[in-house]
Amino acid sequence: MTVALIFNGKVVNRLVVDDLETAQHLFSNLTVIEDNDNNYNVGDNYTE
Amino acid sequence: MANIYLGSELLNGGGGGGGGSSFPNTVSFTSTQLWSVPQSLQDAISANGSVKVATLLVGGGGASNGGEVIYEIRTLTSSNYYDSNNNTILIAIGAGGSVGGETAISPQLGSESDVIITVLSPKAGGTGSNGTFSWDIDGTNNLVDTLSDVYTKSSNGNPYIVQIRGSRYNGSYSSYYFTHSYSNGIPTASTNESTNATDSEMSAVISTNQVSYSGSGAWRYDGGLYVTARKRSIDFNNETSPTGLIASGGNSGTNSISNRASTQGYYGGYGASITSTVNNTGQLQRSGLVKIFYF
Repeated sequence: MTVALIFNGKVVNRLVVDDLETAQHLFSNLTVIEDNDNNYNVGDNYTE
Repeated sequence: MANIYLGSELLNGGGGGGGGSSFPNTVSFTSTQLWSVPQSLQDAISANGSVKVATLLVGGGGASNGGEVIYEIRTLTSSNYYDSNNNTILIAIGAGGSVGGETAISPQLGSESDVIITVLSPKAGGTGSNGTFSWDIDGTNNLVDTLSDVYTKSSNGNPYIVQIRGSRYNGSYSSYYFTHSYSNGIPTASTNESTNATDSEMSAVISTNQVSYSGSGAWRYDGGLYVTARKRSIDFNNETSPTGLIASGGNSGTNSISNRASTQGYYGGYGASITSTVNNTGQLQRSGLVKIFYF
């Protein structure tokens, strides 16, 4: 699956991961959201 | 396999012989994960401070540009470890997309940012009164989130900070922040900090569900209560001093160590074309890859 990593309101990267929970653990300093539909690009704004 | 020598020089590797060092082992990654570093490499890092490995990184493909491909021999040190046990390294695999994700080995912590989650302004400035003031977090104040929400959002290892901003009078008003830091979880006991000036005193007590201010003398509120979660970024996008080993994603521009226009990298991770001038319309932009070759 694909996730988007968000820091300070911006998408900083998009990664391939096995599952969302693992990604959230690995990048606990960031907000991690599922993005299989490619809704977000690197650099996009993101609001929780 | 028998070792082959030219005189005393080992020609066919065998673990790093002079002039013939090779990397007989390979590990490949197509999804983000922690790599359990082989014991041989851990031992080498412990003994020598670093170890050479060969790395192949492919960034995620973009809509019109492939992800960068980098093949280089890199040095791993203890700074590349992800965990305190010094036995794993974070591998991040960039996703394909209209803007490809960046692939990285051991991306490092980057800049720090305070994310203000809650702003509580019981009073919009003005001179504080003597006595004690308390606000129930679940009360009627201007809360965006409750403090427990902050704890929840910050409980997976993010340090967070609760700040109460006020001013004390010591000849003139000067701002002072009561800062309470927690590294993990909900605090079980109140924290109390205070500051004293000649004619004033301020203190703050922060507990799980209540924040109390108290003040005496010449002091005042100065904007209310700020509850912030302090987060550190992962250094995927550090253009000037990347600390991890990074291959940029397609269309991600100059965000990484070797951008897609660099002569150091080559296009990869791209589903439709090997050139950067043909749009990848209708094609699946491929995700990245990491291979590590080691002895």
